[in-house]
Amino acid sequence: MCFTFYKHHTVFFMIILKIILLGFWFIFVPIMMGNRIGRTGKISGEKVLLSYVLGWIRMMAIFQLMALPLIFLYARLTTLVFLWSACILCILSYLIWRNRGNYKSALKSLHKMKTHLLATEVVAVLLIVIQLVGVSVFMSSDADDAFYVSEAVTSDYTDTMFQYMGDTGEPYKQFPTRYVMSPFPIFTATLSRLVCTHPTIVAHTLIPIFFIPMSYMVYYLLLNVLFKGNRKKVSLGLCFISILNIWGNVSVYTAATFLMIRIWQGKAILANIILPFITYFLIRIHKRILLDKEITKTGLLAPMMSACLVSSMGIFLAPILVGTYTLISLIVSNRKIRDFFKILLGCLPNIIYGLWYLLLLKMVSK
Amino acid sequence: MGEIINIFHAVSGGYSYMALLFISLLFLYVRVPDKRVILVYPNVVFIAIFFNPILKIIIEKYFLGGGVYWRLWWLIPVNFIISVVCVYTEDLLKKRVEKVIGLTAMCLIIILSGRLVFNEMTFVRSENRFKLPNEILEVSTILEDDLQGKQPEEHKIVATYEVAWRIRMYNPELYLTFGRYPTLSQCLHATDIYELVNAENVSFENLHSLLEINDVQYLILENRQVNVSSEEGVGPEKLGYVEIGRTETYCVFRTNIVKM
Repeated sequence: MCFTFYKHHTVFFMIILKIILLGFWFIFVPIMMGNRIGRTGKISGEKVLLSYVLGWIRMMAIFQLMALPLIFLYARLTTLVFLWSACILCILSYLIWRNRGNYKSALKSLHKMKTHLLATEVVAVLLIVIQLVGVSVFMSSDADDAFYVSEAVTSDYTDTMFQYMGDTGEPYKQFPTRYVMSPFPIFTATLSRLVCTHPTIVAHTLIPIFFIPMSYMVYYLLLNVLFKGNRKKVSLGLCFISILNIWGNVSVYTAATFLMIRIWQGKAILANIILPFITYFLIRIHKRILLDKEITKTGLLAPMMSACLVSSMGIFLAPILVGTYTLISLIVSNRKIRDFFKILLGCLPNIIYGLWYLLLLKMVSK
Repeated sequence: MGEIINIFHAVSGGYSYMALLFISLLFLYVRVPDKRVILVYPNVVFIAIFFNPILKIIIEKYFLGGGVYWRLWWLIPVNFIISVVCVYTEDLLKKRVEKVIGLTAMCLIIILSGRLVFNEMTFVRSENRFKLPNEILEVSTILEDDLQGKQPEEHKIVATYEVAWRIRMYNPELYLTFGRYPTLSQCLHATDIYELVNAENVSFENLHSLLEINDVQYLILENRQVNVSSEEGVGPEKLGYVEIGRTETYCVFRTNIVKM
């Protein structure tokens, strides 16, 4: 009896702890890392959403920067989890301390925020909620999980990184070159450690709940910059994107299918979050609606680095995207060639990782 | 060029979504000239890159690798472009009635041009928090119970495809002879074993000799495979395998193979 009582309390306590950790790592930390609210001292829908997306992208970029050397040094997963979370928490503490005066004014601006919603905004939110309910109630199977999810589970279990094959448990004879440069399964394993949840649950249940809305956040930002903040047009655009995604299962290759069926795989995040976010960034640069100094300084580095983390395709697709937009902008809008090279500098991580990847391929083929 | 067209057809899936994209790009070019630089030109360049056979060779050889050229389409935000055009179209309509009819028509066009993602081919009702079939969890429990007190890494498992690529997502303690692709396995004759365990009629004698070489301790097959072989009198029990558990679809055997 006493044992049952104790056991029930422990289970209840664990659930509460997991919810707190989830809220902390999946909501609070990204918003603070995005730093739009603290820096400007104002709260608005756009700032919160941009903060959230930018926060995740920065977290991923930092992860990529730390993970690769540790993987090649055969470090333990625990070491990476500790170093990365410590680094994130240090940056977070610094940002909170630096912007401490702005949070009060941000809270004040919250009262001034318009609270009424347009009909189209309600429909847009409803359509997104329908998708979230759908992916929560139903499940889809994709055999690529044999690598993406099993690798995360194996890394978590063995406390290693890319040393054992996810789908068999056998030790790798050499690093899996195609995947090792984009260690998104290790990122999933890290998140699972931080929220004390099985990596498969993180991938199949938690990531869709947070990352599908994040894709819509990016589209919101894109529509917002295109329609200059016209709420009706932005929300109407979101409604259409939702409908297109819900009825977008025309083939297994479309970004919409990847969003709805396997958003926990890095390549789906590349197609639905990272590439659209880079497009958003490039449109802002083209329209000269630059974000503040802080973002201009880091430029494209963080999104480009996160593109490398999520998929080896990202190493190549992101620079093609940046190069094309910038070149067109240079030719059509008579931009200075100096601006062109400045933007291309953002592709530096991809060039480095790309060369590293090719070198690895060459070494393996020898 | 024929291969590129095939890839394009595979991506479009025979639906008219791509036609909507091309119409949208044309609309933006004609009606919204100030957005050409950000919405039309880059996407036209991406389409031109995609349909260029020389660039395909270069991109596949040096950058993307074979079989994933279709991912170039991800550079084009198809749904975003179509939705932007829908918003512009709605803006052109002035009267309320026109707007209602216009919006309904656009929604209908989108719906009729595509396919609902929540269909029985792609989604089934979720059975647990892992979003894995319950039977996979049951098979894992059967194996766990039998493995108690033993070293899992010394007890390799051969499983039919649907179990092989899923089971370690739930239980990483289990060691499989091969997972999704037998070609990536380090065990001997992995492809042969893979073909045998996924065949309609399993040749147990052939399979047994290959399992012996690899010291495989557990075999997971579909019930229907076992039933067929038992009817023909060449079931796994004849080889000394012991059935340690069964689910609705799968049957788990301990092979009792003595390690060499």
